[in-house]
Amino acid sequence: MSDAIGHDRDPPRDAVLASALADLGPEPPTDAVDWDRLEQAVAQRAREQLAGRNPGSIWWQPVAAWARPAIPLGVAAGIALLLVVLRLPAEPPEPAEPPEPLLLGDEIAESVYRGDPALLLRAALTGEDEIP
Amino acid sequence: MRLVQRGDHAAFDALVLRHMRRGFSIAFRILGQREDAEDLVQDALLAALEAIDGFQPGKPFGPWFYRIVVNRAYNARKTRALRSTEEIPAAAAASSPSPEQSAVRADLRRRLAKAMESLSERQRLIVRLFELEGFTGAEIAEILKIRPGTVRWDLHRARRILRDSLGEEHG
Repeated sequence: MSDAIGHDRDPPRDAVLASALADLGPEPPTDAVDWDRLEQAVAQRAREQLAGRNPGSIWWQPVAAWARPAIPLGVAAGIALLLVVLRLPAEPPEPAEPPEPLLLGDEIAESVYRGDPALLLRAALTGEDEIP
Repeated sequence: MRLVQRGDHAAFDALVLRHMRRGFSIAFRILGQREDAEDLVQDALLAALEAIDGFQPGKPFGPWFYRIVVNRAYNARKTRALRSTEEIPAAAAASSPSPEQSAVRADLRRRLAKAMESLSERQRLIVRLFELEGFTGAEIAEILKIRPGTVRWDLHRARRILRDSLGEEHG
């Protein structure tokens, strides 16, 4: 039997050699081990460590649980905000100039004072502050 | 694996059940004592749990865990006074072969043991993991954190030396 080194695959097992090796040293006495006791001992010693790993005691786990629905919601809100921003006009409308105060002529002012608005309405429609 | 990272007992128990026996076998092959191997596999499982956050998702847990076992077993062997792993197994003595067969077998084992001693520690482990534990070269590379080509080369050299020691008995 020869070993094929240089290949990626393993050489075949050598049953004769394996038997001789097993005969040479004591084989692991697996039948003599009380596996249940050993398993319980490991479980008991591991209890404290496992308790320390309880999900509630790890600070980032609630955050991670909350983040799962929050991330898509955040993305959706971001897209909506972007759309709103894109629909806004590029420049805000210029504020309207305040109307020029209508300076009333003495005759009009007097007619208003008298309770006759006809001259005032005419002046407002024509934009003239004096009666021609 | 994520469940274990979140502290799920059942998920961790499942990992223990799946990997404890093989981890024990690897530890035993390095340490040679049952009690030491039992302690070590327990410690390795807890060490794996402690380091579970560093485990890369998507990779197999086995080789990662067995690497912990191997590293700890080597460290333990350096620090503990252990019995020799080259003792005659009870099972071999209990098979009651004829005196001639016993002599041949003893001679074979002596030669093989000597050949094993001539190998590096890594080569010994590689040939045991491959021939006795059934790991693939890629798995062994992952466990020992070396390149697959290095595993194949070590395996090739180790098997050639061991086969030579077996002489006519082999093949």
